[in-house]
Amino acid sequence: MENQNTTPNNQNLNGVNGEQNTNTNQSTTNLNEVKIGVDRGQNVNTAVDNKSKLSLDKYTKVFKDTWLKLNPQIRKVITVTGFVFGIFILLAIVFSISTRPGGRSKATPTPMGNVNQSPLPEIIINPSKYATDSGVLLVEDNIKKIEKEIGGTVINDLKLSQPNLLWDINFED
Amino acid sequence: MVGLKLAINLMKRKVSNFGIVVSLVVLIFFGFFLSFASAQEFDYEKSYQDYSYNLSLHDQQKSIYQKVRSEYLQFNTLTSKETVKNETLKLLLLRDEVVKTYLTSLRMKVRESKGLTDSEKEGFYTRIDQEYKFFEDHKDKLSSAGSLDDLVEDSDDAKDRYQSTTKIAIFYTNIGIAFGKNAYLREEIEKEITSLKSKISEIRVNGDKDVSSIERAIIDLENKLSRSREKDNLALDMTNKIKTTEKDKEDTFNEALQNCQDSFSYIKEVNNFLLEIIKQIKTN
Repeated sequence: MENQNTTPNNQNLNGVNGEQNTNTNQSTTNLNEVKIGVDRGQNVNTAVDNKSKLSLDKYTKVFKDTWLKLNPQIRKVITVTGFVFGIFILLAIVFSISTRPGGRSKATPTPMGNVNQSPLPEIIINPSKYATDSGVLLVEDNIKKIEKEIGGTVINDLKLSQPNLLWDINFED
Repeated sequence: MVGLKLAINLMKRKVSNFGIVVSLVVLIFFGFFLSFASAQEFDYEKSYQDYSYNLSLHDQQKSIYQKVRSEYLQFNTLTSKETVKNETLKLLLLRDEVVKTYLTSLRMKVRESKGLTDSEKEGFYTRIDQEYKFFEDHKDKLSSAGSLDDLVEDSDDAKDRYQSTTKIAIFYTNIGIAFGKNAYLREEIEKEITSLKSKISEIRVNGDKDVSSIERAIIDLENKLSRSREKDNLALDMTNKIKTTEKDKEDTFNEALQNCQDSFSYIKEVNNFLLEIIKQIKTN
């Protein structure tokens, strides 16, 4: 009973498997096509690579030939010039970095007690029709900018106080 | 043999040509580098660094001078006299240099001020430059001093000049810088008041919001700005009128500076109130 019962199931299973096999075969074929495609692509890529390599070699060879054809003195001049130019470029870069405002030499420590808080969104209760008016918002924005400038302004700048110098020069007891 | 000589000559010529070319290249690039370095702008910060450096040298020399002076007064030997003369000369040279670099620093600060007009800046430059010239000439004169008495006399010349006119130039410029800061902020606020006034007129024409109290507040703010301007003008006038013979120059300067502080307080108040007005416009 069990066998009888199992046979159709097996058949069914076989049937299913058979379809699966066919599908697998089809997919294998597709995969092979893709693989060939990929291979072809690789071949094309390799061909392009080879071509660029060849042209690079060609240019290198032309450069080498031209270089060797040059008078040794001229070659020396070019080498020295390149070297000197390189040094000056490096010096210029180092100099500009060290003197740039906010550069390494002017690094300032981050103040610990002055953490910037993200501004809370302004909630307007009972807003008028001018609450979103671009003109009003622009003026508000500008006034806030002035407020920041006021915050950074020091009227009595102690840095500019007159120097404390020794004016009394005498040789009496 | 002749061939060898020719070859040597040719080589020498080539080597010398090569040397000339290399030297030229190096010179060109050195020139390029120097021009690049000099292109770095001389600004207030750089002038202030110069001044601080010279001030620190002066302070060091001051200690040396005080030490050799006490030794000279104690032993009164020829050696100690020569030493004290040399060290005094060094101190006087440094003192002049400090004044010069300090004046340069003030000049650069005026130049960078956004609130001063070109003609106002010129007025400050003239005063600063006159004092700078005195200390430059004085410094050149110092090395010709032959004795300690000459040095004392030269020192007193510089002291008299500093106490009489240089101090006034310093105070006047300092007040000018504060004046410039306030003038710049006031100008910025006035621009915003003008924009705000035209918006308020627009609202009044629309008739959908009562702006009469806001208009009154704006008039009040404009009056405050006028007061601020008056305080600044008064401060500048006070320092401009300091006499060379006046003994309490510092007191006048401090009073003038207080006027600038008051002016700044008005500006802060006006700006804060403008934000309040904006809030009023934005609510029903």
